[in-house]
Amino acid sequence: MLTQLDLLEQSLDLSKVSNEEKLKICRKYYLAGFALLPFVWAINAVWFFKYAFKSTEFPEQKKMRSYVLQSLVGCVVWTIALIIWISLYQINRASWGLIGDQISFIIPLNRI
Amino acid sequence: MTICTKAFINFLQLVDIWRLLHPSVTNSSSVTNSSSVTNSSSVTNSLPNSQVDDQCSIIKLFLFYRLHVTRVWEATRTQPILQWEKSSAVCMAIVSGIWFRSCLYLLCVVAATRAAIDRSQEATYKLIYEDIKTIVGCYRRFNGTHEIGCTTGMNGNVGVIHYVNSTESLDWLINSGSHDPYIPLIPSTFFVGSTIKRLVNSGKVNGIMVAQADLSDVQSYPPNGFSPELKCPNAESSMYKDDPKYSCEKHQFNLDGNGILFEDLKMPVMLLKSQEEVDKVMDCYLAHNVPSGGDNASEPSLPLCAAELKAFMHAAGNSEICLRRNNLIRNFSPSQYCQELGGYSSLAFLKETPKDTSRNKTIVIISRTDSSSLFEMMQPGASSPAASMAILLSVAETLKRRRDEILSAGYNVLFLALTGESFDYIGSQKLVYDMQRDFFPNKTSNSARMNLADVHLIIELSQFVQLGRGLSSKIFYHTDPNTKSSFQSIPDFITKLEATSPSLNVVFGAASADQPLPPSSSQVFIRGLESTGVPVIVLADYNAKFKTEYYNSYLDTPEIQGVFPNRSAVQYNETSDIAKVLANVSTGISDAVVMYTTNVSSDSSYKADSDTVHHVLYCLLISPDCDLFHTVLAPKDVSVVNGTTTPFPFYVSVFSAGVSTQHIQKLMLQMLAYFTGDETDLSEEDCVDNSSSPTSTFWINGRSFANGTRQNVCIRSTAQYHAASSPAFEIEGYNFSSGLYSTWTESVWPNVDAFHVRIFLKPSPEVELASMVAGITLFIVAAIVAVLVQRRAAILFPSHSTPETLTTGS
Repeated sequence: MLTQLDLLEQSLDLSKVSNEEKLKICRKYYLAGFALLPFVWAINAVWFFKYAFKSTEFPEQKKMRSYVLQSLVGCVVWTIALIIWISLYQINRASWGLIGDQISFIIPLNRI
Repeated sequence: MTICTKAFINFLQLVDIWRLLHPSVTNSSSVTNSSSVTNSSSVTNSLPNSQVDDQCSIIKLFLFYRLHVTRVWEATRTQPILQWEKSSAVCMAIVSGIWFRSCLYLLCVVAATRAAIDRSQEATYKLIYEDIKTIVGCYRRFNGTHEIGCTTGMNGNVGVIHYVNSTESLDWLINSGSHDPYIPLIPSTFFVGSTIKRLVNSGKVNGIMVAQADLSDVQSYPPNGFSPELKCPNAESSMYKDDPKYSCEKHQFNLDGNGILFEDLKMPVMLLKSQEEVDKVMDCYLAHNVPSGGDNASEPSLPLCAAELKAFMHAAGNSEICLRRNNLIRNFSPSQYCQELGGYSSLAFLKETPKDTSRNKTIVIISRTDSSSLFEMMQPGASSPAASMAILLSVAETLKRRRDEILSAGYNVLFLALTGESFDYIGSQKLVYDMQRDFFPNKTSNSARMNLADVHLIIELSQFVQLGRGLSSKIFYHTDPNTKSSFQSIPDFITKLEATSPSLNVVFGAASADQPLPPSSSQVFIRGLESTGVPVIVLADYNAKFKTEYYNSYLDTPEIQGVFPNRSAVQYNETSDIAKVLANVSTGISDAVVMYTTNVSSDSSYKADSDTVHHVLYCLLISPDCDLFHTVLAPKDVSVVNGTTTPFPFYVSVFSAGVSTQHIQKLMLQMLAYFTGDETDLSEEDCVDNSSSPTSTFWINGRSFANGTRQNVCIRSTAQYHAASSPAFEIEGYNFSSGLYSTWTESVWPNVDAFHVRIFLKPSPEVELASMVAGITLFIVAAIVAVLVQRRAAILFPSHSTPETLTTGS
C-alpha cells in the first residue's frame, strides 16, 4: 500500500509520472503563475523544459511546449520589470519625497 | 518487580539525602577519582561563582548516580530475583546514568564555553580597545531646508590620531600625512574656526577630538575667542534680511563668529572632558605616531594609534523630511527621527488685567534665557543670557515696589523671559503669532487679551557682562533706524534713561545712528506689526559688535567673561563687583520706567538690590544648589537642585508638550513668580488656582531663617509659561522653505551607545592580510582533516562503526 509520502514522492519525481499527468501538472503551474507568482512560472519553465524540448516526442508535448514557453516569457518579463522597478526605486526613492517614504517598508536611518 | 521498586525508592532516598547533605557533599569528591570530574572542576575554578555552583550541583548529582547504580547492582547480586527484573533494573540505572552523564557533559561544556567566550571577548576587547568615557558629542540639527552638525555611520569613523596644536602640525597633516583618514586631537586653544574649516575641507579627516580647556586658566582658551555662531546670528529671521542698507553683510554684530555651528560637518566632533583621558590618548599618540626627523618629518610606520568616534544620528535631510517620517508608522523603524527645538518661555505682568477690562499701556521688558553651542548640554551662557536674566529679575523686583505708581499712571509692565531665541527666535515668534491671533497671554485664561497694538514700548536686555571687566561702564541703546521716527515713546524714554546716569556708575548712550538693531527678539515684534512696527529699545554693552568673543560657545564661561574669574572663591553671600554694576543698570532701567510712566523725578530710595543680582548670577553660573533656587521652588521640586553642583545648561532643548524639560525654564518661571507676585497667607490646601482669576498660585519653599528652616508660602502672581514651539509646526501645510518661522529640529539618536570614543592600535595592511590568510588556511586545514577522519571513521573508531562500513569491511 502506498503511503501519502510515497505518493508525494512519486508525483515529484517527474520521470515516474505519465505524460498525461505531466501536462496536467505543467498546466496547473502555468495557470498558478497568473496569480502574480512569477517564481511558479520560473519553476515550471525549468522543470518541464527537458520534457517539452529535449525528450522524445509524445502527444502532449505540443501543448506542454506552449505552456513552458509562455511561462518562460512571463517570468523573463517579470524579471525585467522587477529589475527596472527596483533600480528606479533605489535611485529615486529619496527624491520622490513623501511618496518615496510612503511606499517604503523600511526607511533607512541616517540617510535621506 | 521488587527490585525495581527498591531501586526506585533507593534513588528517592538518595536524592533526599543529597538534599540534606547539600553543603557537605562537595567534600565527598574524594570518593571518586573520576577523571571527568577532576577535569571539569579545573574548568570551574576559573568560572564566575554562580556557574561554579551550577556545575558543582551537577557533579554532585553525578556522584550520587554512581552510588545509586552501585547499590542497585549490589541488590541484584545479593537477592534472588528474576532475570528480567534484574536486567530491567540495570537498564533503568544505565539509562538514567546516561541521561545524567550527558546532561553533565552538556552543561559543563556549555557553561565553560560561554564563560570562556565572555572572558575572551572582554579580554580581547581590552587587548584591542581603550574606551574614552568622559566625552560630549556634537550632533545633527535641521531646519526646513538643511542639515547641520555632526554624524557618523552606525559603526563610527576610524582615523589615525594626530595631535594638531599649531599651524605647522596642521599643515603637516593636510599636506604630508600619508596615513589618512586622520582623527586630529586638538587642544582647546587651537580649536578655532579656521582650524576646523581647513580640517573638514581637507578630505583627509574622519573626525575631530577636542581636549577641554582648563576653565580656570585663561591661557587655555583660544586667544581670539571661539564663537561657533554666524557672524549675523539668526540672519534668516532678521527683519533686515532684504533691506539693502542694513542687511547682515553690512552690519555683522558677531564678528568673531565662525559659523561652525551651522555647517554640515559630516563627521563627529567630540569634546574630551577628562584631562586624564586626554593624557591617555596623548601617551598612545606619543608612543606610536609622532613624526620623526624635524623639518621633513615622516610618519612612523604602522601600527599607529588610531581612534574610533561614533555619533550615530537617526534623521537626515531636513526638518520637513524627518518630521514627515515621524508620522509614518513603519515596521522595523524607530518611532522618531527628529524632535522640534523648543521649550517654555515665562512671562509675568506687573499687575493682572481681568477679562473684559481694557489693558493699560504695556511696557515690555525682554530677556532671552537660552544659549547654544556645538556640544550637547554645554551652554555655560555667561555672556548671554545669564546677565540679562539677572537684570530682568532685578528690574521686576524693583518695579514691583513701585507698582501702584505705575499702574495709577495708566501703565503696566510685562516681563518676558524668552527661550529658543538662539534658533531663529522660537519663543518670540510663537508669542507674536499668538498675539496676532488674539491668543495672548493664554487662549483660555481669564485675563484680557493682549495684542501687538497694546505694546507701548519694548525694552530688550541684550548682553552686559563686559561691564564687569571694568573696561567700560557704558550701556548703548539701539533703535531701529527705519521705524524709530514714528514713535514718540522712544526719545521720551531715552531722555529719562539718560537722566538716570549721573547718580549711577553707568552711562546710557546712543549706539551709532547708521546701524540696524542687533540680532534681538524685538525684531520679531516689529515684523509682527507690519503696518507701523512697534517701538523698540535694545540695551547692551556693545555698540557695533558684540564685546564677547564667545557668543553661543561652550567656552562662554564666567571665568573667561570676567563675571567670576575664580569660580571657587565666589560666595553666595558676598556680593560680587559685577552684581553691583548690573544692579546699577537695573536701577537705571527701573528709574527710567517709573519716570517715564509717572513723570516724577528720580527717587534714590528705590535702588535695585545688588544681592538679588548676585544671587541670580551665582545660582545660574556657579551652583543651582543655592538659597534663591531653594526659596523659589515648590517643596516637591527641590530635588531638582538638591546636591546639583554643576550649573544647568542654557540650551533650549527639544519641545515636549506640557512639560518643561530644561530646569532653567522652570526656575525662570518660579523666580518671576517670586519677584513679581504677592505673598498670601493661604495654606497649602487653599493654594490652588482659582478658575475665575487671571492670576496663578505658586506654593513655594519660602525664605530661609537663620536656623535653616523655611516657611512655605503661597505666592499669587501672573507668572505663567508660554510654550516656545514654532508656529511652523502647528500651521497645516506650512511651507518649510519659506523661512517665515523657525523650523529647527534635532536628530534623535539611539538610547544606547550613540556616542563613543575608543582608541586602538591600527596594524599595518600586511599584518591584517597575514591574519586573514592564516585564518582561512586554518579553516581549510580543519575541513580537510575532518573529511579525512570521517572517511576513515571505521578504522579509527571501530566500536562506532556503522552497518555500511561493516558490510564494506566484510
